[in-house]
Amino acid sequence: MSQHAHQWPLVVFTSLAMAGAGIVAVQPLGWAVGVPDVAGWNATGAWGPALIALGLLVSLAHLGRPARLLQVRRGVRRSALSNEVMLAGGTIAVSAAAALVSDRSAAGEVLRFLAAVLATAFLVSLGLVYRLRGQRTWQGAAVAGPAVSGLALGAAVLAARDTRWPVVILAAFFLGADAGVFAVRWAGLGRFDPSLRPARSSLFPWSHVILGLRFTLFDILPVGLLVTGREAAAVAALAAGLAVDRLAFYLLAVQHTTEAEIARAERVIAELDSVAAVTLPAAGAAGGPGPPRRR
Amino acid sequence: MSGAGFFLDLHRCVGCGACVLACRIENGRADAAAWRRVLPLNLARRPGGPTYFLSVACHHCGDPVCLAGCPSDAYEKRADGVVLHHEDRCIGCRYCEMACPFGAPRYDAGKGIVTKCHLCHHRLDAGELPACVTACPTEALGFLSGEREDGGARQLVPGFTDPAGCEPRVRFRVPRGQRRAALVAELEAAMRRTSG
Repeated sequence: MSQHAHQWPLVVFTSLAMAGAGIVAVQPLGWAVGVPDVAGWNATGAWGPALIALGLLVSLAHLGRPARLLQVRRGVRRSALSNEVMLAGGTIAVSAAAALVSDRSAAGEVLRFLAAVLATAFLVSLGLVYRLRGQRTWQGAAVAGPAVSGLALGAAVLAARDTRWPVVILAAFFLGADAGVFAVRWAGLGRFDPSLRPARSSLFPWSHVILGLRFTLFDILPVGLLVTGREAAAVAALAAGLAVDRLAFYLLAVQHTTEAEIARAERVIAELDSVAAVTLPAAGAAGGPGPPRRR
Repeated sequence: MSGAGFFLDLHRCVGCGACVLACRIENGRADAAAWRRVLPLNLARRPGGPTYFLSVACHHCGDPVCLAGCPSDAYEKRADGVVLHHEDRCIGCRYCEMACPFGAPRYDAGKGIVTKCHLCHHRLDAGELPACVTACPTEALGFLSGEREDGGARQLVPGFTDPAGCEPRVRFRVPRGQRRAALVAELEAAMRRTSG
């Protein structure tokens, strides 16, 4: 676990940021379905920028030089990480401004819609940051994960506030989409070549248990809890599922490095060697001409 | 693809570590993480594969992923191909460490930033070779310039992969001789069968 120590702030940041941006992103959806308690729904939306801001603060802990944070402006457009930070800042600013204006004003609605667009873009950027070709398990569906999971979480929070059937069905739809994307990611990890796994990873044998827990907590349990009217428990299950999702993302990462390639080569060599060791005595005992000299 | 880089003759490298020591001395990195590493492959000399030592540092890639992803613009690719890291701009996010498929950027906890091999650019500018190349007693490690190429050398260690497609500026000359060539070929074929 020590090699992942610097990633703990990132686990917290991405969890909080996905939750916060998900809530902001589905704000206009609340009005579209005619949420009865507009003031209450807008108050829930105000949690969004607070969660993202808290996440950003925690993420400073993973920087070796947090005082140089403003240097990230240099990489805007070129670096996915810079884009992510800028979109986070934009989402916080606009959604916080939206929370300050009156609930029914046109300016408030425009700001909340703009905040939703920025939050969605931020969720997409959260996935794009980790689209690194040298990272073997951060490919495909893992890149879409933050956007889909964030939106699903936001929709489930909306359903927890507005328990009418159409809203619950809408949340179930988003959670279903998340389940689909996550299932693809899970299957990809299941097919992952064991020879590419880290030599001393104690977590990979448990990967299906960890991912199964995440799937149950985030995609299955909340739907059941929402349908049975236990909204608070549904939100708690979502939060726990999101934390497990982020933990699994970082802890089950497999990076391509020269050291990892050497470990893979040595495992391959050991297998070649074991084939020779098994074949030699068996062929000799049969009384045949014996195996050809391997080298 | 031209540009500065390294050349390693796997037939000649004996794993003495003189290159690592020279790098540490030249760049004042006595206590910090080494920019150059000597990694033995099949040190146990299992009969199913070749044994060699890989002396590796930054590959000064033609399309460096560290540079592409850096949020603070701390990386620069010089006209001669050297990938430089500006320590004064680094925020220590370690994103380049996650992105590099060769493990070249090394986090320096003392400084709170990432550091990496700069191909002794101060020596190159003075018309000298990098310290690691100069120190190699068997001439296994060489300097690869735009002018010097080796048709028989490979961009990757046999069987290894470059998933990032970042055009590493390093060339490996594989062990020579019929027996060793057969071992290398067998390892390469077996490695290709895995999804690397």
